[in-house]
Amino acid sequence: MISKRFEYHTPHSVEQAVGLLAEKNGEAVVLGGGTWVVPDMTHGTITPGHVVDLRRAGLDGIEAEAGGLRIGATATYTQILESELVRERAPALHALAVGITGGAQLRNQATMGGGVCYALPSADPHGALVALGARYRLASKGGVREVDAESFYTGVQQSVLQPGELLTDIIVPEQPAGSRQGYYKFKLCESSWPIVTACAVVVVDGSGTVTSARVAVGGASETPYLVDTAGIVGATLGPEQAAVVAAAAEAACARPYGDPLASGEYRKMIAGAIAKRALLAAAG
Amino acid sequence: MTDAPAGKNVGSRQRKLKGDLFLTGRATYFNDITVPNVAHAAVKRSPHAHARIVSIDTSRAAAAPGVLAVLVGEEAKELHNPIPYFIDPAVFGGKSPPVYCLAVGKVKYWGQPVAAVVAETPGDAQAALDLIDVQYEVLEPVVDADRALEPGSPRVNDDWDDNLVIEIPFVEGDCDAAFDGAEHVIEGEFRMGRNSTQPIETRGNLAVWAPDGSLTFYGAIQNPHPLRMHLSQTLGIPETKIRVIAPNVGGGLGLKMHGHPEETLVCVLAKRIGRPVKWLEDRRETLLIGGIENVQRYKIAFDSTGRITALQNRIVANVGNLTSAPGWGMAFLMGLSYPTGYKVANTDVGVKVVTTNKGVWNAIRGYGKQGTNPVMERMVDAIAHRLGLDPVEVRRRNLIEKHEFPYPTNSGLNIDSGDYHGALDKICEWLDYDNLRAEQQRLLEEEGRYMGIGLVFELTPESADIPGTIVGGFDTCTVKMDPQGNVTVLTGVTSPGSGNETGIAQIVADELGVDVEGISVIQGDTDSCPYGFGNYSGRSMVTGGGSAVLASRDVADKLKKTAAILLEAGESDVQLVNGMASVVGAPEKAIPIPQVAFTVYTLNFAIPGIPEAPLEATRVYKPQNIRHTPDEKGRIQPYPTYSFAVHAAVVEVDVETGKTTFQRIGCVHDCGTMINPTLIEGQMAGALVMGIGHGISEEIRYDDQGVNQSNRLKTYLLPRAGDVTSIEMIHQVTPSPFTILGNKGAGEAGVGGGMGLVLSAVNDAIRPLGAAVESLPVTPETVLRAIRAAGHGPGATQPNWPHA
Repeated sequence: MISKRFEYHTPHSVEQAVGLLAEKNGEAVVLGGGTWVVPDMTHGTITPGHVVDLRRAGLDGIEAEAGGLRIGATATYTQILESELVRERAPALHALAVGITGGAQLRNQATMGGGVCYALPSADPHGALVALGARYRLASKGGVREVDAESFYTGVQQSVLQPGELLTDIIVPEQPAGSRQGYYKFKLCESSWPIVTACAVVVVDGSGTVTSARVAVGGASETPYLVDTAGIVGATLGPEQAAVVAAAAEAACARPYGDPLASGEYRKMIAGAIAKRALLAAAG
Repeated sequence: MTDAPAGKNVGSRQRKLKGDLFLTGRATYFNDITVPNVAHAAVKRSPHAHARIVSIDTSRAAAAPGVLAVLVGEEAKELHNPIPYFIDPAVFGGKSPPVYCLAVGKVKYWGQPVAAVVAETPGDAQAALDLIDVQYEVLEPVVDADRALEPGSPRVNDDWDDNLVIEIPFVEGDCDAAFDGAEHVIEGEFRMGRNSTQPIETRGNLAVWAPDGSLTFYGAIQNPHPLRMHLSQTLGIPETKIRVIAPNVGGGLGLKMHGHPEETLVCVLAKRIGRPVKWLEDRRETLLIGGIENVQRYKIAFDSTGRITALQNRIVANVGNLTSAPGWGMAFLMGLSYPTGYKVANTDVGVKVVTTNKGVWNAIRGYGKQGTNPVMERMVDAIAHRLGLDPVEVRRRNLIEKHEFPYPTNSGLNIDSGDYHGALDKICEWLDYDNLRAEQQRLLEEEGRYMGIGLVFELTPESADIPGTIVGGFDTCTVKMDPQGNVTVLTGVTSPGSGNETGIAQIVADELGVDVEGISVIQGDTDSCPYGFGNYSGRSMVTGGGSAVLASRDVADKLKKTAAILLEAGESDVQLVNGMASVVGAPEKAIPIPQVAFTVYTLNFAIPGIPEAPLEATRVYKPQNIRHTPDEKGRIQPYPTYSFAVHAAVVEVDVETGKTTFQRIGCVHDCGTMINPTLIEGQMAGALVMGIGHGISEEIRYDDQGVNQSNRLKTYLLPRAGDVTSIEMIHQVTPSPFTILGNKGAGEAGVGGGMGLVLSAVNDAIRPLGAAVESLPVTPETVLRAIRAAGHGPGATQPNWPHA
């Protein structure tokens, strides 16, 4: 039960939304699907005076943009799951949406944009969006800016998102020609939050040689990170190459993240295996 | 005596009575009950594990919208007597601090009730909690039980010399001599984490005082009559002025055995404001209550054939802060239950029950036996590994044999009956054991995959009677037939949702020859039901079923006497079948049972010899085998029946992450005569999955300051369907010679089995790596750490390319 009284707002445009955020001056919390904000308010870990619900702000579209796509901040995981465009241009995000913990009720409610802003290290989208080189479009009363996913996150539930600022879109750029994507999520059991996630975007030429590889890990460190894949470019993917990526993924886990489900040490211990599995999923 | 009727209902898969109401969400649970003018309570809880309360300022809360009253511990203490213990450690020579509904003087665990608000709405009450200002002087907490036993450690109870609640020895034979002469000895230390029950329906209480000073208490509770006595003692009013009503319960699991502070709290608050007061537990509050946490330091001696000669075990149970609820007694049972179904001549088991600044315990289905079975099975597996013997074979060599029952155990128990080797044979056949072992070897050698085969025996003493406590081993039933032949059953046992009302109706239907669907079973109301102890210890069909047999037979006798007169037949020739009283061997001589009933009520003066109306009987059933006269060693025998099971699981362990996946789960269960196989299977499946949850993911964690880290079902992980696999259920029936129908308890078995199964299977899988896990739950992190500790670095254990 939410015991602290608050005022609820439903802006009908981004302009109205950023206006409200500016006006409430840090007292407002933005509601995407509410699957984080509502439990936090229920538990009293946040007690905002104002809640700005974006669901009527017209931000739930998923559309083609350049050679990539634009996912509106309030698109639910169900929308992502059902989008042909996502399946075609960002199959890793389709795979991610399939595996969202919580089943249909959660997929119908939760938004990827909300997950991004909440910035809990172990949540599903961060590693995948970093691997895909996504950019986050942020709006405020002062204007619009774009931030690379990789540089968006600064710590546990911390990011460069400023008070008064709002995520409006996730931009997934066109991926390298001939690339294949793989996503792997490790969780303890069905009801568990993700523990470590990884996503790989790999190009393998006709002779089986890796010509480019982009691998990112989420959940292991306090912020998602890219893995050094230089060691496998120019090689044929095999057990040794996978082991090289795994070792790099573990080594790059700079600030291991721990929570009541799993220690940081453990997450770092498995980061390599999870990165490897994403790579294998991509290599098919 | 085994005396199972050959009727069609007992033993059948009768569907649950009123099951449609439950399936369609129309059954009445606690929170569906409302009364006029009800107010709502919320509880302010301690943010510290150990602190002195310096001051509490309630003025802001009292002035908040909708607030009717605010209560603190110093006031509450004057409004009620200490809450009686469900099972008082003092009865056994231990210590028990007085318990009040709100903390007095100091808080002793994180989440302890410190103050309460009662308001017009639950929201108003909740909101006002933040306005209560409590000043604490934080004290050093003692969180670890070993540390709590050290001299000089902080004391949970200021007036105690130490933190030891009670120490209980179970000694038989000469362990020292046996260890001195032993061919082999294995020593180990086993750690079991704190887990909990988590029924779908949380707890709740509602107190309604009448102008005449009488109290009606509604609750999501398991034991209405015992609670009536405890409320009477707590509130200082006679039991005759209290009515306790338990509606349908959405899972009891031991949690809803009483002794929780909120039961008293709603009564005190309702009295204070002169209005009914309701409190409904929040899931975070449910997660304050745990149990089972213990460390076992064991030593087992055996010969080179694998026969166990001696067992020594030092158990330290961390029961957190003591409350009046019966949870701490699980530690007692952990010791008492050794060495389960194995023959061990020399045993020396000691249990130290230690209070700490962790949260409270309450009963958890299994009631301590799940603290014994997994560790005993771990020892047996370890013996097999040490000697290079098959673990099944070591079990065969040590388990009590069929011809040895009833079997007196070292701790004084008397195991009623069993065929353990038969159950082992059945599970091995189901597993195709020898071929499975070969496949396990092939998978490892050819594919680098780590399959584990877990196999555990589980013994479950059930239907306890604990002398000097309100844990009774008998129960009472009233069976009534009205003039139109309709049957009502009132029973002292309650249903936690398990379906015992259906089993009881099946028994009554057979005895009276009536249709089971037409029988009305009433439970959980102290004003209408005969005295009974409610639900615990797998007792409902042993005691509730037994008393239903006796009461039905009394009514049946009257029906037969009457029918004999009407049919001009001998009384012993009359049978009650299919709604008719008929003459055996002369089917044309028959009369509908309702007509017989009508005759009893309406022609009692007219026809000589008709038995006295009404058609009603109340009977108590006391199962045999309980013995409370201490033997020469001072031991008693509190259990009539000992159901058992052999469980097996096939798992695969992902050795890169430590995660375990279940591929097959099977169970051979023997609870004697089955009243309803479907209900028994439901109980076993539920218990096994609960045990697997306790075995693999469920743990209430605390930090080193005693702060609970597992406050929701995202940080306390219950298993879901996808975490297990379908459970194959195989029945074996070895009737109890000590119960009227030959049935044994069938509610608790499976919890310890599931826990043991995870442990046995995972250890079997990682044994080729030289790794072993000696703790529960067996989380992926635990497994991976064990693999790394065995010297396998990252990548060293990766499966063959490509990964499966």
